[in-house]
Amino acid sequence: MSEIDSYLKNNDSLLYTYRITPDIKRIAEKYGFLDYMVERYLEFLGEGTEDFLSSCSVPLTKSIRCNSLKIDCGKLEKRLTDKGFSLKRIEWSRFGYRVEKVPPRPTLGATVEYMKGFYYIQGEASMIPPEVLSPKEGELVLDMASSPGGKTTHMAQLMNNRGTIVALEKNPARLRKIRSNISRLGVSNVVLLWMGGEDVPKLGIEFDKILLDAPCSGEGLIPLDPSRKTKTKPEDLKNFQRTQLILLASGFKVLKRGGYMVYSTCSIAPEEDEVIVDFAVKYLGMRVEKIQGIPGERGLTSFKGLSFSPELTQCLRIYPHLQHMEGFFVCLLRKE
Amino acid sequence: MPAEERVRKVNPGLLAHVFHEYGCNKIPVKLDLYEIRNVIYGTTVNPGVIEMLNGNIVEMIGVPLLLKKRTGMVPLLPLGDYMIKSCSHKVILPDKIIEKVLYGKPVIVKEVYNFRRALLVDGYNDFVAFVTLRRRNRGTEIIPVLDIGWYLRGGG
Repeated sequence: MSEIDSYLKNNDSLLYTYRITPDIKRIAEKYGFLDYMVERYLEFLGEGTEDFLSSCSVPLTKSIRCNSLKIDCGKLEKRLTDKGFSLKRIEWSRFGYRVEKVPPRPTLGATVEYMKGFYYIQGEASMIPPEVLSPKEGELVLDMASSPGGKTTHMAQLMNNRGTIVALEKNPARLRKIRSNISRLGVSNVVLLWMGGEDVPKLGIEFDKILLDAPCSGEGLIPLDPSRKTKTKPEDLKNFQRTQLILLASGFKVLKRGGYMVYSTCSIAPEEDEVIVDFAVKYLGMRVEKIQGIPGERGLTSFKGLSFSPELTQCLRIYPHLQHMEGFFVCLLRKE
Repeated sequence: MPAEERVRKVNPGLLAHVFHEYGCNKIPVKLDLYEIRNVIYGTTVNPGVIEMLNGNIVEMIGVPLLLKKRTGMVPLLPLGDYMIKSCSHKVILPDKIIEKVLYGKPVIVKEVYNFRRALLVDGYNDFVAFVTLRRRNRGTEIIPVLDIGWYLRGGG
């Protein structure tokens, strides 16, 4: 049995056993969530659970990332303001803006500026992983699950189109979207491969930095897609967890010593977040680095009777009811 | 997955004919060029990395610049941004008319031009479309060949 299999087996009974009380049923019914989800939220959100559940019905403020590869951000701000948009700079982001007011026409995705590739419509929290990884000009960077290309093109921007990003995408149906975004945004330092992240050791290349924005349940995206309130079953979480661990282990193999990896998901499920990072610390010997200057809550150190490494408090959890962004998890790891 | 296809380095001279058609006074692209499946890409990626990746299924390297057809080379949208800086065959139109072109529709203007292929630009001197020009009784018909509205209509 592999390390991953034994890790999953050891945690399985604790993670996937639920005690559904009448109170949990009542709350779940009130907000339209599955019972087991609420049981978990009560454990790690405590008194904030109902605030979180109710925030999932409130639409989030839209946001864009100015593409400095093609336009000066001040000029973009002026052009969109002239069209009736109202933008506010996201304090911690180098290129992000909240769109606080939109005109009746055109929509954000149909302006000439959008077609020219002057900006990318991107959830605020999904701008965090590239900012945390902070790739520099000249570095060799791996993006293990690239679609639809938002974070890939963001990293290219941070690198000023210098150095190299190897971007992987396993699903052929998603390649079209990435190709379009790379073209529209004028990104010249990306090689896009049709390949699953689990196969990356076959390339025989070691990378300075790796972004593993892992395929996940999307449990953080409920404010954007209410169908997710009842979509993910515990069995789905188990499947995602296995995939995430396999990708993490593959990424670890091709990361240079002293290199950095960002592990992120658009999920607030500890099964897909702290449980995965804890494997990186305890089984792979990776270290968790502190993330500075970005708003968020601390990572968990325990969940459903499992204890995680204390270093995991340095990971970031983002919640719609506290940070007013989509739910997200971001952790910066270093290979010793 | 299909068998891998090779990535081939391309000489920048291959672009000269296209640039000549649009009145460019120099080759405006300072990128390494590679061909994959009849598309020429321009990139700043480290050539050593490309060499190491050859043999895998490379979907794209940098931005697509040209499509190789039997009839010749067809410029693709990202190339327009580079050409705008050094090509003289330009048609400048007001935003209202450009909106029509962005729906893929031809427009007729009263001006007359002495070239057949041109870059359509807006009031900011930004590239908007590759167009073909046809003389009409009362001016010129501007026919979009490939415009940035494609990113909404067909970009996926």
